[in-house]
Amino acid sequence: MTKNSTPNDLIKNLYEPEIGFQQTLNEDEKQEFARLKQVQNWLNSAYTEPSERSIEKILEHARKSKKPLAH
Amino acid sequence: MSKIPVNDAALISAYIQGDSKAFETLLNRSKSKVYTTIYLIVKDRYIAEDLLQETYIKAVDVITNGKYNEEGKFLPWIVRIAHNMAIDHFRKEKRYPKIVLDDGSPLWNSFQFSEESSEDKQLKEDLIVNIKDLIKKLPDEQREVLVMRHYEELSFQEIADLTQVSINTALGRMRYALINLRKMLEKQDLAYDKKLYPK
Repeated sequence: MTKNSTPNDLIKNLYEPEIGFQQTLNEDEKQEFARLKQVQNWLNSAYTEPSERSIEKILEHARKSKKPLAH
Repeated sequence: MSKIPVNDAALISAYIQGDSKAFETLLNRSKSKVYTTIYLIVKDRYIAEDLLQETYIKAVDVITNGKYNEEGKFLPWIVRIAHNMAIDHFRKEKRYPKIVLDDGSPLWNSFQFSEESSEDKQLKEDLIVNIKDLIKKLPDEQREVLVMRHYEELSFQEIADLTQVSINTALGRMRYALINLRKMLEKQDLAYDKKLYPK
């Protein structure tokens, strides 16, 4: 059984999924949802890593700031 | 060897108790999201590296001073710190314009990235530059919602409250942002590059 979803419902569920939502979509909506998902995946692939130098500086500060480990 | 707890709240508790490995895990989990968020705002990797360090140093200080609110989730919390740092950077920039070298890098950071030269890093650089350019072409309102929802992980309700619009308006702006990005991608023939669409 399918019901009509609004375009905004697709966007909401792309980021804040409700259980069973995708089963309620008709064929056109499924295709549109898949296309939006592709763009979302592409944006995910844009995550980039900071340099090791930055990470080391942060860790150094974290080590200096922590209290001694309890035994 | 101590076992590292799974969720962020447990990691923060372990760090407060003195386990620096717990903080390292937390950092490794969140660093790319925080860095990318900053990068998309300041659009300069040298500045983004500096702000990333400032963000985490501030977070460490808040946690070790016992001021961290454990009810909040760590990632949205630290991304908000990063966001505010980036905005503060723009305010300072207006007062103190930076000196930029021919390649676009700031003068004071010109020796920091010599270790980054592998092909993979170059590919990633090209990709992020391309994405940055495409996101930059979006209308301001769409770009704002996209960054807040996708990279800062705010809910649509939180975005609606912060930007003082209805949730439907926030959703509509996000929808147009994604549709416009898709159109730009198709135009560039990137839409069929499997590297950009990991399964």
